[in-house]
Amino acid sequence: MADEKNNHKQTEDQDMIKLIDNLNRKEDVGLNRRAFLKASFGATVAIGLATTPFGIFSYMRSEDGSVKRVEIADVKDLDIGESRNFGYPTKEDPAILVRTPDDKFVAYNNKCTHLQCPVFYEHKENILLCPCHKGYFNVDNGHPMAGPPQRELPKILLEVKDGKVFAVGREVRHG
Amino acid sequence: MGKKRVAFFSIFLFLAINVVSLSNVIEGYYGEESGRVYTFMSAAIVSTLFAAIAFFIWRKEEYKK
Ligand code: FES
Repeated sequence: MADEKNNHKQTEDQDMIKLIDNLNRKEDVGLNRRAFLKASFGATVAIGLATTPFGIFSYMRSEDGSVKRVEIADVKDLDIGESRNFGYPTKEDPAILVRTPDDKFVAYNNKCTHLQCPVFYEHKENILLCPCHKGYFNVDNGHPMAGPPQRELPKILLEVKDGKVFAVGREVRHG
Repeated sequence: MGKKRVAFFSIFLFLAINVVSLSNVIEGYYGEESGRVYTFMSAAIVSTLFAAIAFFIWRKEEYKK
């Protein structure tokens, strides 16, 4: 009789132990510091490695010449001191191509870096002008010269081939 | 103790660097700016390496004994 009671007590104890065991384990697997750090580390590695395909594709497209090339103009259509608008990388990204007085081709995205007004080429002064608040940019490198703009215009990389001007890339400096 | 804390918190710093880098890489990729893609890809890889080092330092200290 006493034996049976003892037995009963033991199983009850074991049940209690199991219960506590369960609680601890749940805590351990779920929200604890170690698991949190491990998950964060995993995310860091995953995100870091996720950048590599873009680098590889970007390299591949510059190697095999499948860079986004946009034909902008015929060299002979654009006289020295003239400019022309186009879109790069997409049609919605306005840009301006200028043939400078020293017969070079330069191109920039012509959204003013102040408040995004379109920038024009001022032939007489050989300068890029934003009429909204009188912002001036250097034609040769896109740097702001006067007025409110503080950042350079994004530069578009050009290639002149077979008498045609192509846009082949972009360089945004200082975000 | 100090070493372990630094390792612990630096992982979050590297996580932040990687998030920023990834967004820049994607913007650079679709904006045809290969220079930006390469710069931020390198930054992400370097910070991933540092994160791995920090993680192993932390793990060594955490499971010591
Ligand atoms: S928008 Fe160009 S100067 Fe203000």
